Amino acid sequence: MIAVAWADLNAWSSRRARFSLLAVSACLTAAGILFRLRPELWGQALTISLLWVGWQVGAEKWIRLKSWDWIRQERLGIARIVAGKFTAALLLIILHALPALPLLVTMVYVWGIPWVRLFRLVIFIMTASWLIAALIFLADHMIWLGQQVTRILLGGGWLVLSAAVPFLRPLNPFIFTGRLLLPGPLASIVPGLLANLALTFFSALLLWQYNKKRFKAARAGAIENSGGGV
Amino acid sequence: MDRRRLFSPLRTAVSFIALRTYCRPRRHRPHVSASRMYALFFTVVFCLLIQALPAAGVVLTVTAGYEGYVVPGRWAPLEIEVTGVMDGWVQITRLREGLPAVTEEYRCRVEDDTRRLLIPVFAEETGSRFEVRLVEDGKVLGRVGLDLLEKVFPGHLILTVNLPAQHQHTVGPVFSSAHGHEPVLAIPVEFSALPGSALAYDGVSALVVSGDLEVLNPLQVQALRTWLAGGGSLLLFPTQGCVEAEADGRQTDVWSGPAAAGVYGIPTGETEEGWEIRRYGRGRIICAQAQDSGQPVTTVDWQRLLALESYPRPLRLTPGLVFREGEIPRFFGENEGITLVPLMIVLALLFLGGLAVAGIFYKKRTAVALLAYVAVTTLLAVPVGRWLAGNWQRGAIIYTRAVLLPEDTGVLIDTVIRFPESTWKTPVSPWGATLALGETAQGAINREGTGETFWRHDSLQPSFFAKAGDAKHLHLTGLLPPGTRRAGDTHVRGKTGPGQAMKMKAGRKPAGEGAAVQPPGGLLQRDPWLADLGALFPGERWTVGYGDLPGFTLTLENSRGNLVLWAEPKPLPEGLP
Repeated sequence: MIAVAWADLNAWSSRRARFSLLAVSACLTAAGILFRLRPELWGQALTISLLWVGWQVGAEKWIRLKSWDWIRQERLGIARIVAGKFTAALLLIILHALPALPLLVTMVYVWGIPWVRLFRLVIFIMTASWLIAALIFLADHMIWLGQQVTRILLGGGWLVLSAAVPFLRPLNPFIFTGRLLLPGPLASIVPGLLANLALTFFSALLLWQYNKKRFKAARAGAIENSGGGV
Repeated sequence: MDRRRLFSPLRTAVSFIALRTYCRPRRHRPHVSASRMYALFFTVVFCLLIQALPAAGVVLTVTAGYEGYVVPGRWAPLEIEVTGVMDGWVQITRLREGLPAVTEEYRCRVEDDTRRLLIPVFAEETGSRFEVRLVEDGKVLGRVGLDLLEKVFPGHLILTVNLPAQHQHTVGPVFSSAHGHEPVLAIPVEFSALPGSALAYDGVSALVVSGDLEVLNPLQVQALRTWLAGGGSLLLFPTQGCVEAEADGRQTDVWSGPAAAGVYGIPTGETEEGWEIRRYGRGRIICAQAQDSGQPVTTVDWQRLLALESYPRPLRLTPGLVFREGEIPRFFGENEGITLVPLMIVLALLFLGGLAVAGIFYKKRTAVALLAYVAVTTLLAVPVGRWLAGNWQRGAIIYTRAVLLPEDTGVLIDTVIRFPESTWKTPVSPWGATLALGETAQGAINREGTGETFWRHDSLQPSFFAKAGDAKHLHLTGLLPPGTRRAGDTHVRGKTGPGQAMKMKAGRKPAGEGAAVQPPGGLLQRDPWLADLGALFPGERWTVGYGDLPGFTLTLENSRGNLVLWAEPKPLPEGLP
């Protein structure tokens, strides 16, 4: 699992690290200047940035069996591979949240927002971003629909669905951020946090089951059609 | 032992004990077993009685509002009735989630009788939970929990006293929400149930009385006057009609104070379709000229007579919430520039610094360098944020208990301003603790912000002179003359407030503002809290924000080094005669 996570982190740092970090930092800085670090507005920019990171992290090329060659050489189990991928995704999301730290602290002192709200915000957004990454992982396996379409259907669909259905609104990162960062009663993080983690875990289970069958078939000589995706 | 009983098929079938007894017959000793049971029972009961003994002689009864109904966002009477013998305190604890509990104590001494305390409490729109305790020598004799959200009535609450059946019947269908107005609830009460505290009237939109007010005791009269002066409406059906009653001089004693003179220059009395309408301070008294002049009363009559405006419109003795839920306060225009440019520069430097670090350490421990940069900038963000915030002075959380005092003695303002950070320069957060002014002294403004704190009232009358201030909080109590409008001491405010603002200045002269007008000396003497404000923070620049009280919008701001209180009269509701 650690080898898989380490490999993913190395791959990210050598290829996309500068772009993604620069994009997130630029977005947060621009939003900070534009919105004067107003928490409820800048918090939405942070949400968008980290969800985008989750999306990018999930858009892996691991659907192609040939990129798994070295993994097969290492004789890793599917469960460890999936766990490693999810761990790497979470680490990457945390790494992308680091540039936001100075701005978050500045926002706390300029606007006087309590630390507890800040912690809840960051934790919730990171788990929401992790869930998006998991959904994109899943979408990448639905090659018969086309990867881009499936990503939009799953990732974007979840955001739209959670915003539209009243009882799912506590799970929507944008709505929750708005509620948390506006004056008023402190919103509870527990339902959203548990739901995000549960759905992420469920996605991991699905990936594990699917890839177990998939690799068994590949070893038996089956040839996959990657669906023309990434 | 009668073994035949044990052979009973039914008993054998349903009773395992009987079966066991049949198989292993023993000597039956019913008296011994019963004695043990009785002894055990009496022991338990005795222990329970011992536990309950201190409260046995005292009965605590608590009711909130009128027939339990409270209007959200208004004060409501909390009636506490203590029966029995005790010498201790009544503690009222406001329970708020995430905030320290604040307990107010009132002396309570009952000598084999019943004592009734009527204490106004503020019913927050988001819900207010209270716990009322009777405490004697540290022992809790009884406790009652209250949730004011259980019977809230977000509309017009009208108290009726001795209203004849035909009028009571008329009130019902007329005052309904079906007419596109606020819902109305008419609650019949007795003269004796009318409160002796003006704040208890806060949730009442109108009082309809059939009879003579001379039966009220002085405390009730004072409360009624205060409420009327603050914007209440009294509809009166005297026993002999208004004209006759006034000729006798019976009713005039009730509203003979200076507030009856009409603080806004409106004619003191008007006659309209059998009613005499007279102003009393900000409120009005509608009096039937003859006993039968009120019949029939149409919907339009009731609306006009009682001036039942939409919910937020009526003037009430209500504290204002500065930072409403879900809203961010606006900034003072003149202070934005101080912080915005430095903020933008800081953010831009932060970003450019990151780019520089990434460029310098390109392909050579970039990740480590960036992590170090993030760590350093995060630590630096603390003083930078404080510095920015210090420049960016914004409004504070101010809750104001404002009561228009009877006899035109002024508006009592009891204000607590909290500075949550360690320095007064740091702006107060709209996410900070919300305080209802007047119910906090050392209570909710304790430094730790945790635990339960007490505020002891030695009497039911509020202290008009208490004031305190330190780096954490400011507690002001003082008087503001009511009804003061554009006069010799007014100043038209151009930049940061509407044109009808009245500017009262305490402390030094405003730099560069020659147009500012000094208040008359008497005003400052009557408002020692303004002078104390300067004494508490001599030579300091500060903004404590803006508040709201009935009829006025209060704004306290530094205005670049000048201590200024803005009292901005609100326009009167339309439709008032």
